[in-house]
Amino acid sequence: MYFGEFSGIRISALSAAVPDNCEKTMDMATKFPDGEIQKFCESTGIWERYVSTGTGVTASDLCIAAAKEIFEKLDVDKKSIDGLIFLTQSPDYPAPPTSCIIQHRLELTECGLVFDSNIGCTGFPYGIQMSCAHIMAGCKKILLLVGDAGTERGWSGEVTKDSLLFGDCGIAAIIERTEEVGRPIQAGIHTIGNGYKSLLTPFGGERHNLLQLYRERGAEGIEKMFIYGSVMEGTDVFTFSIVDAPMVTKKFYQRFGCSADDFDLISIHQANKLIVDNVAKRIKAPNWKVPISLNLYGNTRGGSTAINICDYAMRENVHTGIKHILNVSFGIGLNIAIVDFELDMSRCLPIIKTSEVFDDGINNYTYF
Amino acid sequence: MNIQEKLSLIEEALDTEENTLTPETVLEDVDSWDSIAALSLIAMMDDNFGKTLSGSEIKALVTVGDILAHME
Repeated sequence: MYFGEFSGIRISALSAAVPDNCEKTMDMATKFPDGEIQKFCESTGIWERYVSTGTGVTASDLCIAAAKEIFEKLDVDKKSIDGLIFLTQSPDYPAPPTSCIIQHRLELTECGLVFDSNIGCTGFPYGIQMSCAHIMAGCKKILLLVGDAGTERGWSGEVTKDSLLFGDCGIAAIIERTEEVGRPIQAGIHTIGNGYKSLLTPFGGERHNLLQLYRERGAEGIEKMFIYGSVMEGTDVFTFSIVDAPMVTKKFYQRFGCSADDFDLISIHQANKLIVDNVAKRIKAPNWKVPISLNLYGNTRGGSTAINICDYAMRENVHTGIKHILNVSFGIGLNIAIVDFELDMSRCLPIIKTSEVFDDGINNYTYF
Repeated sequence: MNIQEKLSLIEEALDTEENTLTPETVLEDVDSWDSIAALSLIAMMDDNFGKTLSGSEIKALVTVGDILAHME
């Protein structure tokens, strides 16, 4: 388990964007028999989500929309940004890193430290830790982007119930050096690599190459991959979420001498309602400190705890004052990341919707 | 905890009517036995018995009696 503490650093802006395409979970009722979808909605708490399916909006498009909100609405000088980190499991291209294209699109020409990472559901807190570590090592101001979006889901309208858990979003945050005296940002991260098969996309990398799948099974294999290609061992993931994530949170409490009482808000990864409720109970977080937004956005993966904070601010009309926030994330890896930070709520922007798609001038026949 | 109390906990986790389950009840025959019920069962076992059921242990459950065997 890793712990880190970072003084003289603050999160000075936070914004979120979703694709302008709301999908109501109950609309899928005809695809599944016997009231399964009603039960799914009641037990997961996920009644609707915003999804990129069919819109062409990618994770980078969402993050760029969120970043532009920060540049337009808050007084942030683009030229002062010297680090750009993009966390996603849905990059624009297999290569190069999408962050390079983002640097170009946002005209951050002076920004040198630019990289992607494919950290999953723990993206937002993990990204804060990465940003803080880079600031300790010399950076002054980092634009942290965390997002995931699926432009295609399933095959010919066929989807799995698991896929209905996930919504799309893009987060942008500014993390910077500050002279102001405030609480340090504290981080705890733990990885349980032997659980890697609990959440796995087996095909599409080099271990199980797409071409090999196509050679052996033809189009049928490719179709199945689009429908069933992300494997989730539900019961194992659940056990990990409600046992390991609280255990790591308790270690964080112990290491930094704090408890749920010390935080104004506790933003828990919006996996599903059963998981959030169980984790909250086990880390002794009272309901009124635990915002829920999965009913509107679903599980948005790496950005979920951040969009949860933005949604809380909008819903409760909290646009002033400082909130001390604990962020508890867990997911693919398997990985658990906890951070706490103070946030000036006047720097937390409302969630926006976008349908803007970047035209890179490439189509299916451009190169061959 | 006696067997009746344990059965009550299982009934609550599986969202079935009171006094409907016996150790012989086959889980496949219980309408509400699905993936969500399995998650509730995992949470209940951890809360009350400090035991973590793995995915393979859940899959191996055939009867209510098999659940009771873990409740010690």
